[in-house]
Formats: sequence, C-alpha cells, structure tokens
Amino acid sequence: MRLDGKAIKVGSIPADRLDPTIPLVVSLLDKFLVVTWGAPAVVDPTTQTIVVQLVDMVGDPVEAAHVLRVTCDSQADLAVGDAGTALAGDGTEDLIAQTDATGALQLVVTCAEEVVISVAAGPTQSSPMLDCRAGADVSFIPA
Amino acid sequence: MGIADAVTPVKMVTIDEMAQTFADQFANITWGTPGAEALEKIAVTLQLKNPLGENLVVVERIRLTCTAGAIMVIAAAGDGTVLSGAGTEDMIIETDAVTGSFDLEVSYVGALTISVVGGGTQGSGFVACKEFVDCVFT
Repeated sequence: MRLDGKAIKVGSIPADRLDPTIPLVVSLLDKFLVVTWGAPAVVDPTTQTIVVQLVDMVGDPVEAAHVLRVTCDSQADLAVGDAGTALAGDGTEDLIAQTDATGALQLVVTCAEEVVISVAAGPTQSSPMLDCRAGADVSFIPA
Repeated sequence: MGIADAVTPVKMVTIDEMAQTFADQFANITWGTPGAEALEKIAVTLQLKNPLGENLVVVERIRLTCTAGAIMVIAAAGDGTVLSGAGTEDMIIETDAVTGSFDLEVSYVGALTISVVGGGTQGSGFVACKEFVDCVFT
C-alpha cells in the first residue's frame, strides 16, 4: 500500500464515504421523536378529530408505533379514532394510546360545552424520548 | 481526487458546530447546593443544562415531586413559574425563559432528608431527570 494516498480509491475509507450534507446525528434521528398536531376536523357540534403525528427532529414522519399519554381539559373526553390503539383511558380526559405503524394517532375529542379544549401529549411507561412541547387547542365555540 | 479531497467534508463539519446545535435540543436537570434551613424551609435552584454542561436557557415543563410530608413552592421573587400544585408534594413548573432555572423552596417540619426529583410530563421536551437533590432538615 502506498503511503501517499494515491492508491486510495474514492469511497474506500470511512471518511471518504461521509456525505457532508448528512450530519452524524441522522443515525440518531429515529431515537428522538417530536409530537406534532394536525388541524382539528369538525365531525359534529360536540365532536372533533385531530391527528397526532410523530416526526423526527428534522420534521420527517417516523413510521413506527409508540406509546404516549394524551390529556385534555376536564370538560372533554378523548378516544382513539381511525389511527392508533387505545391502551387505557379510552373515552376519558386521560388517555394512554399507541400510534399506528405510520406514527399517527387520531384522537376523537368530545365536548358538550362551548369552550376551547387544550390537548397535551406526554411520555409515559414504554414511551421513547419524546418532545411534547407542542400542544393543540380544539375549539367548540360556534363560529 | 486525492486523500485531501476525501477528508475535506469531515473537516467542514466541526465537532463544536454539530454538538452545539444538537446538544441544545436536550435538557438535563441539575441542582444547585441547597441553602441552609431557615424557618423550616430550604431553598434550592434547579438549572437546565445541555449535555455539554452549559446552561440551557429555555422554558421547559417539569414535574417535581418530593418526599411525603414536605411541600414545595417557588421561592419568593424566584425564577420560574408554577403551573399547578403549589404548596404540595407534586408540582408542575416551568423554568425561567431568561435563565433556564427554577428557584424552589421546600418546607418540612421535623428532622428528615427530603428528596426532590424532577420528571417529564405533559408538554415536556427532551428532558433527562436522573439528577435529584436531597434537602436535609434537622
């Protein structure tokens, strides 16, 4: 092997294989999940749906099932809709649920009062590293 | 393409550049040294730091719990905000936006070591809460 590097081919050493557009943290991205919220969708005057989507730290969806705790104001109830699985507390203000394999969880928010319901997510038993700083407001005040 | 060209991309991304951006995404709870007991109260400051050990100046929601029998409040004129549970053993707080800290006051009548621990809760970001603090009441 020559020591002047002239015999080294492109792609033959680890440093040469690094893509400068992809920092090392990419390998860790799916370990740190961020909770994002879609826009509420009105089903009827007392029922709305809202979708939680897990994304990574650069905003790409994380397609995996993970457990999180979702709570809301006491006037409302939370249930799991078409995406995800309820693990505990389905139909209450304190729900533990699992996203589906796409990282999505559809929540059904039910409230009989004309108020704005704040919904928050958080980690619980079996949760991964979650960034839950974003919450959602669901308004039941007639337009 | 020579060896110098091959290593250039590595040199373009410094450890410091990567670490700072990445590290500031993660908060570690650290505790200062508890103050002296006065009138059955002990003050202690929670400070967020990044994994590099630097003060992290962000608002972060944290749940604080302590040994049963003691109660917690924010210290007078202290940094931070209490969201719920003031005057109990189970309090949810936010760190101060300017300092990334929370000034806690623990009260207990009697002689006991009161342990205070933090934890993630609804609305928390990436927070490591392995460090706790003991307040020794005599």
